[in-house]
Amino acid sequence: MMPRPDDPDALVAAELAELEALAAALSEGEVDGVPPVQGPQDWE
Amino acid sequence: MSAVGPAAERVEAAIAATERLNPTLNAYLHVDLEGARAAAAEVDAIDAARGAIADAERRAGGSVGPARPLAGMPVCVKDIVDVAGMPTTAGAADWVRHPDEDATVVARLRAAGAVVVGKGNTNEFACGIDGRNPHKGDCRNPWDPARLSGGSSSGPATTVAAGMAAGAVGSDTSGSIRVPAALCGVVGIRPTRGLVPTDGVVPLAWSLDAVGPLARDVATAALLLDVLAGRPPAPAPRPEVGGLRLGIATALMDLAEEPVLDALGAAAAGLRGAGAAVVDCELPDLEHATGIHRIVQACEVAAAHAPWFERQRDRYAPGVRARIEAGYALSAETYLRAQRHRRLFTRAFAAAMNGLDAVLAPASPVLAPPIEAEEVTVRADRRPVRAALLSCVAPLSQLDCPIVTVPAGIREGLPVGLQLIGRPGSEALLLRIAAAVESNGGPIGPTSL
Repeated sequence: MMPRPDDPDALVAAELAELEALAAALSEGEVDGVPPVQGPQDWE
Repeated sequence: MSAVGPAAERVEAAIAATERLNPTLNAYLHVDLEGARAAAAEVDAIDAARGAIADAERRAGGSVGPARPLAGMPVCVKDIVDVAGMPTTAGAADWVRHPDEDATVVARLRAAGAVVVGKGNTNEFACGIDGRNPHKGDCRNPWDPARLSGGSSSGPATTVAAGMAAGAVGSDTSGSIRVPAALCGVVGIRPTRGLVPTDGVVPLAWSLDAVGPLARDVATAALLLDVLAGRPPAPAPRPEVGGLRLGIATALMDLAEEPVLDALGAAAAGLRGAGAAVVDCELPDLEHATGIHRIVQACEVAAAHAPWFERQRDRYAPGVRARIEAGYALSAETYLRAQRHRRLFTRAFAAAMNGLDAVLAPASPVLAPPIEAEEVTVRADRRPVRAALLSCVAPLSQLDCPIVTVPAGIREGLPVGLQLIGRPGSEALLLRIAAAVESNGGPIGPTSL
């Protein structure tokens, strides 16, 4: 259910729940040994 | 009566358009018309003096340097970018700073002869994609004021499209140059990250923010980019695409409505006719990429707002506050994991571009939605406006590469924008392709308001 647009606390909770679900989809194993992004040089 | 110079004429035209249209469009949040007139007079005086010196030098067998590249160009600066003598409000409620110094990009514009007319509207703290602003008033689309302009660089795109400025400076973190450029029918450039300095700009997300130009045509946008990057202006991009191999991002085309597809199909046909090979291109998982982007942005926007978050907390629009506050609850490990996945996505995208010179994609899946719309129909599904407008731009925003939006035609009385995505440092190539798209239909502004 969508939170009421005038209820900030409910909006924060809903946003956080979405972000946590997205984070859960980013597996740790897949990035084993991969450093964080560096910038344009990552294309090389 | 004294003669009026060319800079004064250009600036007066922009001022006249501003006085006529800004009450409807709300594209400028702050203007300094007298300051603009004075700056234009100064540009004309300098040019007149240069002319006299040049005549004398020529008679003596010498020469003077080239004229300043933007002499007399009226420009709009997004209101997250510092302009000395003007307030920076970031489109926020009760948040303001009064800079004594120009941001580096503004200093470069002025040194090149540009005249700052005013500060352009923006979503609150550049946090939004629709051009709405509950504190300062919504910016309205110059093609139809009952429709969204797109954002967050809403004022820059609208002023340029409506003739209230000839060029503008915007910023793009998730699509904030590309979407308003598309919905307003102007050219916008998200440069390779690091090419254009971001000091003196209120940050949204450091590792994603890019400052770039908007203009009515490709040549002007290219010239502005060179000035913003602090390098000598290159000749105007020529519409030469013979021998290029261009990929159409089918996954993003599949997100778009029929009028957008029709215009982009015509643009692709024009590029084929000009000698480019245009083929389908499969990109890595864009839904996954959108997730990475959202986490990185949430963490970085929370950090950027930390110095004033508690003081500002109850002044943010609720949706903006939610996006910032949620970021505080994510861990450093989550942030870094997202940045590691971002690197993998970048590598996968680079691999997908093997054998291609650039990728073509819609900048927005829909024409400008009505200003009061909360949802739009996309491929028979109802989607929140924000999600729809972000869908074609946000996943590409983390690639650190240049992306140009160029008008690809008018459908149902509204402009359609095409994204051109290239490898880091390939702005000149993308602008050649953009010039070819433009040469098929020509620049489509200004609007007829």
